[in-house]
Amino acid sequence: MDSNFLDLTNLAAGYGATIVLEDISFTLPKGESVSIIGRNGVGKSSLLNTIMGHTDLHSGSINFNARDISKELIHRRAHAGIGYVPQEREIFPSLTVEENLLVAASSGDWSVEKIYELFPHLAARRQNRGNQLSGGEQQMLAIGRALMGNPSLLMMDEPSEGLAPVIVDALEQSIADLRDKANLTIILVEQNIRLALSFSKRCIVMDRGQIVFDGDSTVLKDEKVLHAHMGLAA
Amino acid sequence: MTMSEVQPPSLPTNSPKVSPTQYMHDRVRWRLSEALPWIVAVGAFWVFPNYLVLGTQMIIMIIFALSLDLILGYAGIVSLGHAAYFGVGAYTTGILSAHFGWNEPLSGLLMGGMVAGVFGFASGWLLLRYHGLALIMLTLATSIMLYEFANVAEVWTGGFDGLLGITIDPIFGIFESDLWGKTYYWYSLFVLFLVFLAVRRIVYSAFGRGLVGIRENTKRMHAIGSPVHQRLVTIYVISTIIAGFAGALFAQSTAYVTLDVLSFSRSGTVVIVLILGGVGRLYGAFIGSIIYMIIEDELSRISPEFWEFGLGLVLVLVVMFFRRGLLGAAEDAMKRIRGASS
Repeated sequence: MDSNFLDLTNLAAGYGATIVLEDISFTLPKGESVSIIGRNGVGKSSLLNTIMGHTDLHSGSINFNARDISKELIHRRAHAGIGYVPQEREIFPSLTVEENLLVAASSGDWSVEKIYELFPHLAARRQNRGNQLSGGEQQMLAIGRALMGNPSLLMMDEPSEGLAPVIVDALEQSIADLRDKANLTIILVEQNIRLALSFSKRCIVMDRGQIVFDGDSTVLKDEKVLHAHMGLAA
Repeated sequence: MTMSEVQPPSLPTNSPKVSPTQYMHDRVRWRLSEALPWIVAVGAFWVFPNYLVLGTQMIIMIIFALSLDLILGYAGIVSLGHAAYFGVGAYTTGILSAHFGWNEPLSGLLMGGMVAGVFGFASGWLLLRYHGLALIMLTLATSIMLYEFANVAEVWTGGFDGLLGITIDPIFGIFESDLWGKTYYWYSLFVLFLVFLAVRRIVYSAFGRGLVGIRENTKRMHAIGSPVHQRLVTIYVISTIIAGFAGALFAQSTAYVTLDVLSFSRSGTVVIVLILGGVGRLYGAFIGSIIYMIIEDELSRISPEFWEFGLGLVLVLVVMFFRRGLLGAAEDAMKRIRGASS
């Protein structure tokens, strides 16, 4: 197992002159998954945005698959194997489900048919436009679209947000299938603590733009420990 | 419970038993209703034999509008200087004929498109790094600079007096230009058909769908690995080649090129045409061009001084009441009728 598949070193990044992330360092071996939790506005999404190249990197470096991608353009990072499912899903509203998938296609194992196998629901919607889908369907499509790029690292930003509990349960199962069967390295940012802690053995807690905990998820199942790390009153 | 067990709500769905390739192929398949504009265009030759010159100008406007629709309607590139490429095409064909005796129509047409494309590549590579208001201003500035350049280079362009001495050989060495515009009507219609086939193919391809993605969410297209700038430049060049064809056809059909081909009013007119017909819907260029030129022809006959007031009024009404253009309004009406009948 490559222990430095993703290697962030002393990252400081933000939007323009405003620094949101400070001194972020962690490594992620290939095939391993990690959940990132924290209160609203602590920099979880900004961390994913920084790995994807959507923020301004002030210092530090991002190595991915033995290659420094700190200064790479966004689409080159995607080509390098990073797939990103954004919090807002950002489905193309006037494209159909199938077109949403096809515009992201690149050579590799994932194909439209395989996406439909993972999410049969989408197959039934293939000719419906993006703006005709429910929140759950949009989330499936956002994940499917990211997979169509055949990534080796999949980053998902709060996929359960705004979804009905029954849909969240189903989504959790699908994400677990990806983790177990698709040979993907996954970073899951979640506000849903239960989902985050059950998803991966490793969990990172962020507070005020910094990593305050990086370790075994089971440790955080103790509510007092969790609250202490998340900066919440016990 | 897995995602496959979650039952979808009752939204109309389509059969999934079609491969993606077949799916895209089906999207490109012609619908019966698409024959209508071509039947009208062919029929117009016999029904309106005295209006074939105007008909030719309509067809040229449709080609020009299609070129703008590719970048504005599909890729979201707003340009107020698209006449630059129409003008480059017109002057290229005109200069080749007037100064070099290159009178063969098909190669002249191709040269007009190619030179416009080269110019489109050079300008697009730079301009498309900008967005929004900056891009609008830069496209406008490009066409203004070209207008002034053509004005100064009067040895080649004829300057303010226009380029005279354009002579075009018979098409295929057989079909000569005639006073009634019959030959150029068919010639222009044939070119329009070829251009339309190409544009339609592009629009329904994965590349074309990607352009819509860029228009709707550029940031997301970057993140799914799309080389956005490269794709924008590609469609811009294709668009400028088509605009160049329109300009070349204009030069060949009128045998005269003036600075007007590069003017802001021509750039503005083609935007108005698309707004009237409907932006980003292929046949909007047809409807808009025909409506615009009929209005222009009729109103300028009624009031040569104030016809633009009437045109402005029509535009205001369309923008206020038919935001998706006349074609969009027609589609909405059809949906309502179908909804009411079902």
